[in-house]
Amino acid sequence: MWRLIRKNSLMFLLYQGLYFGLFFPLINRDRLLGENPLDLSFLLFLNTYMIWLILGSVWGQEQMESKNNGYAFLSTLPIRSWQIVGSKYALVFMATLTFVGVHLIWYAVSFDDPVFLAAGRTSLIRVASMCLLLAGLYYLGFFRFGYQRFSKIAVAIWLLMIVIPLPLRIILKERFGIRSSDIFLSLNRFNPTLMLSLCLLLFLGTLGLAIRFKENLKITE
Amino acid sequence: MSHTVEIENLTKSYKKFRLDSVSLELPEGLILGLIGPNGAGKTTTLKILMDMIRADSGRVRIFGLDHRTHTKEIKNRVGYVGEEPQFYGDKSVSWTGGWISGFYRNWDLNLFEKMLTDFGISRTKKTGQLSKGMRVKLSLALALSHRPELLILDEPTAGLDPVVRRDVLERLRHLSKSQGRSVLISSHITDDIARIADLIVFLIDGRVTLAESKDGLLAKWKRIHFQEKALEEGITSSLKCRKTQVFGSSGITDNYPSLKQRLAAGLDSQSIKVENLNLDDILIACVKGDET
Repeated sequence: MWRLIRKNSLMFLLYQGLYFGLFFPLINRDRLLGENPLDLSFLLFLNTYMIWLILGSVWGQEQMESKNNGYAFLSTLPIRSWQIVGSKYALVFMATLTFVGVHLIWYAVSFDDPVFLAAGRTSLIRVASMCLLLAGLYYLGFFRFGYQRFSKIAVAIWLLMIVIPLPLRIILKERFGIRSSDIFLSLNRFNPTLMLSLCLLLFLGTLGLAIRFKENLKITE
Repeated sequence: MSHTVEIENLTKSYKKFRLDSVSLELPEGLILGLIGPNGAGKTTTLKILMDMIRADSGRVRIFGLDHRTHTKEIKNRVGYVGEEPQFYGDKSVSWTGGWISGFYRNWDLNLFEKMLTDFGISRTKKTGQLSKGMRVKLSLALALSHRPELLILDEPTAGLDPVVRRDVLERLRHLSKSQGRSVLISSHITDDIARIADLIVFLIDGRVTLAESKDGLLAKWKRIHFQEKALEEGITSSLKCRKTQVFGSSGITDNYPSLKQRLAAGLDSQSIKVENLNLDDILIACVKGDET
């Protein structure tokens, strides 16, 4: 399965490279230089980009498989369907872990206030949980409906992930006087460990279903 | 003789096509040619063998193993070349070979390198930049490099120039005769099949209409040219593709050895002539049936 993960990793590395190499330093320039303190509101806004990053990688990956008729090619090799699907899910998990890991290190370095640090950590876990769940549902859609049919929905969600966070943050603050951090903090009543466990369980559930859908494609093809 | 491939009553239904109770056997070390017009079900049959699509019913055993429960083991011992070879277009030939090699137990890197050289395939070129012919050659190189015991080839010579086509066919014949590998090859280019196959199966409209050794088939199927009243009525009515022309009539028999005795007098007086057929003629006769 490692070979399949290696093949698929390029798209994820590309997105991670784009984010950590360009987007992250650019948007945090003043904070990284110490000109501006890191505030929780901004940090929470930044976390939502994890979803954009992972879903973008998933979509790009499936686009590549569709363009190259990759699944037909893979089905001629001595590989089982669960290995093909499993490698995709494993990569999503690894990419999410990378994002979380890098951000946790950044928080530890940047935050002095233990309250902020704890809030940053829990919000990161929550976003990571959502990210895993959405990526699982994305793959489920691709394996159930095929790339051609599901990609339109996938792109729409992905674009909304890029577009929505910034204007939403501004609207909430300027028109309603609500800071986005307050919303995130209000989510604190949800236990992050419980949320992560639940999303992981659902993530594995979608994996099982996606394997079944991949097998069923052999019947309908 | 043990069988490398055994197919029993394979059925698969689509909206406008049905693969109908296809059964065939490929003994070890022989080449079986699957012949049929476009859309006859050749590709569907081969894809079911490779567990790329699933049959509605029927049984497939390869190397004596069920093709679904032992799919990984079987694919490790099978080389497959599809109708439209697919690769990851942005990857180089060298990367593709290296990547695929890890999935097979018996990958022979030297053999792969030799075939790339023989076929004139650039190692650094991206697979997406290869011409159709080159893609087929690469697909063949990949299919042969793990020294498979069975080769399943779906129209492998389509798109190849005559020189390479001949070379590929010779390689297949060599693999079968010298190394005892079994080959299942589908094509609508009957010349290719005639050149290398030991066994012939005609698949028409999703059904096996004929399955026999090539030599047996060519011995049984003949075109008979005859003058008015030179043939017994029973024989005339049994002929396929009957034609009446100015200088006489003709028709095709699928049972020449049993007629030979009854035609002897006519052959002597030259009122009857017998012509050998090629696989193309037989295919057309099978498709047209008793049409005159």
